[in-house]
Amino acid sequence: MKLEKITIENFRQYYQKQQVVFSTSKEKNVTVIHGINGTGKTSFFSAINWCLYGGNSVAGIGELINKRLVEEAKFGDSIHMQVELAFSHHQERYRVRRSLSGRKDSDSVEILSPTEDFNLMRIDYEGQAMKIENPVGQINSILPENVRTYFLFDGEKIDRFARPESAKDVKYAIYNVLKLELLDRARKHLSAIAKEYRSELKSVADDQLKRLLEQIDQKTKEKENAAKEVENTQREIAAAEEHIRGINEKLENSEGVKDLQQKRTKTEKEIKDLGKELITVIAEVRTVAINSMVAVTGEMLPEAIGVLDQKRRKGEIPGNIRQQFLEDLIGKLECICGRPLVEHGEEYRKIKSMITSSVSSTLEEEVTRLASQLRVIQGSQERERENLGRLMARRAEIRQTQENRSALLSDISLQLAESPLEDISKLEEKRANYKEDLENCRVEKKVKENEIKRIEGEIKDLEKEARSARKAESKAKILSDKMDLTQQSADAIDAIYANFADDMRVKIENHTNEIFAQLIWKEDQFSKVQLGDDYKLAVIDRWGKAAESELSAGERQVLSLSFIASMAKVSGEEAPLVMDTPFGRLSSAHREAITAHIPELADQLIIFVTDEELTGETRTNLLNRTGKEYQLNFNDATGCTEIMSC
Amino acid sequence: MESEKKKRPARAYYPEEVRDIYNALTQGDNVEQAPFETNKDVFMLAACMGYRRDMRKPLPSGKKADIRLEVFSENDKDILKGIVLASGGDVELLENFGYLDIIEEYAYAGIYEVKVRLMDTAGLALWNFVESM
Repeated sequence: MKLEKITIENFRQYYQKQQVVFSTSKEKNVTVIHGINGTGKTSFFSAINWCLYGGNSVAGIGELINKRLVEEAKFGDSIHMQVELAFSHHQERYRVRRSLSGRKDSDSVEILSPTEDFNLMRIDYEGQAMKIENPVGQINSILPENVRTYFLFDGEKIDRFARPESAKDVKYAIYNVLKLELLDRARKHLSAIAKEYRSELKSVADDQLKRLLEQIDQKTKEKENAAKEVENTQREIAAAEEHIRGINEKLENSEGVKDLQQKRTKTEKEIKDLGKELITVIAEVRTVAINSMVAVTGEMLPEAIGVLDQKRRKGEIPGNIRQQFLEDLIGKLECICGRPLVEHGEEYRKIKSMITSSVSSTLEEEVTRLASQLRVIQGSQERERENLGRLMARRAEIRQTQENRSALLSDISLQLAESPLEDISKLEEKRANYKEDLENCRVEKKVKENEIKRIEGEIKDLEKEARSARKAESKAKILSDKMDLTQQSADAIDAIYANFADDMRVKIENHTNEIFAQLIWKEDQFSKVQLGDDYKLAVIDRWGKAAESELSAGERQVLSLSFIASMAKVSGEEAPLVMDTPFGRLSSAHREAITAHIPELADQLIIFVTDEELTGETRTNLLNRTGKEYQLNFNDATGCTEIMSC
Repeated sequence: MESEKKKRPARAYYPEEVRDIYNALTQGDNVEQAPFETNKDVFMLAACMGYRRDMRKPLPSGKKADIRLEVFSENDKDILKGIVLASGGDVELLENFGYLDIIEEYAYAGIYEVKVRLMDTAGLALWNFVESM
């Protein structure tokens, strides 16, 4: 920020509109405003602060309006006070204006309903103004309010940083001016967000998915094992069948039992064929039973048909024929029996009500169709029942034949087992064992196949649950990533913050050291300025000891000034140094040293001085670098100050 | 007059709570244990059984399973209409699927009877079914 011009209007002792143009030249960067005590240097200084930051920045806000203006105004007159600053910042030009308006209330200086107005305008290269919607935010981003006192400072309080108890102030000054506060805020903010994510994560994530996946794995293994067992059983079945086939062949080739074995083979085939037929019969039974399930309703069909027939008999169906017939009777006023119908008489009303209760033609068609269709169904039901009876009889027959054939097989087996030929009986015994194995294996296989089906069902259910859990986990994963990233960022900023703060402290220490050495006249007495970890600004004497208590008020002021100037330099901010009576407490040696160097320490220096502060070499030093110079003249008669260019 | 009637959806509903019975009678490769090919057939039997036992039960509010009416054959629909007429229902219920309200109540009550007779009785469901006719 570089101040270009200020226009003060009716602010404190500045009556009407008065203007000061500040020096913006690089070589002559100093603007000196002279004034003896009481002429309005502090008011001028306050005008700059008030314009930029409003009421909080200025003491005695109630008395900002020029008293002469209030005095001259009549009751009810409107009163207006305003300060406007033109400045440039980063190649942009701005104009900021703060004003206060109201009306005079009776004879007092109070104003009615004062309204403060604050505007910030950006001025483009063609001189066009553009209103900035967020003026407070903008001003704060250009020169934050919390650092203003380090750039716009009151000379009487200038030694504050050099006081032994001011470590905290020094630390805040460094943090604020160097915008370390921003890093600190970012770090705190990110840590808070990471904490929020962590607690959200706790509510979302648990090990449900992991548990489900483990269960699926377990079930899949069980299924694989069962499938292996089915495979093994199948092999055992094949082997047993093979053995039985081998034994069958041997028996068929053995004289004496050949016929018996052939009979057995034939019977076994019969049982097999009957089994196949039974499957077909069962399928047919199912179809027929489903087709004839209306039988379950008992007498429903005749009842429904009866309902429809009754309606027809009553003449309600078909409706349109009946309706037309009834309407004809009403039209002729003559009954079907030839007797006349008396209008609104009992018969007449009866016929009328029959007309209105008739059914619609679409429904009538449906009713007619249904009546005939239910009869068809009734007819087919009888056939289906006969069919079902025939199938059930065949099923019973097959089962009986199977039983008979099975008994025959047992008999054959017994005959062979009891054969006097040892080989035959042994073969039959083996065959019986293989038969038993075969049956056991088939049972086992079925059990395992059912087990596989059950496991498959369980896996399916688990997968469904896992899909839901996966959705929840994917949310948790995103949260977890966010949390990690946020925490890492917070940690990184923390590290940057610590390093940066330390670097800055050392840099400021070095610069303060350099500047202090230039400004202090007793250079030999002090070896260096120290800004330690504890942010205590100390001067070390030539014996290596802290010289705080020995520092004079002037020396403390020089130390403070050195610190401020070094901060301004280290911050890299383009900011003016506006100093209100800075040299009041300084001896001439210090003043000379300071004025010789201070113009180089800031981009722009605006300095309010009394004539006593600026004499001799001090004056020469400053005037060499002065671009603009003003004199504040106080008029005793009016109580107002006039600003004169020198 | 017809247009004034509220048309109900062309679907037959049954409560979610009885879905297991429908599944048990339709799913599996053993015809004797699960004799029905479709839920529609189970629904038909349930409605017939409900009528036979003269049991109706209003459907509870809540989730329901449904069967599209296209799945029912013309014969099926005529049987259902016959049940409604035989149970004293008005002929006007034959329009706009109006008969389905009564049928659903029969089927809801009837499905428990189906379960008792086909599944909870000794023997296989197919033969218990044939027996019940």
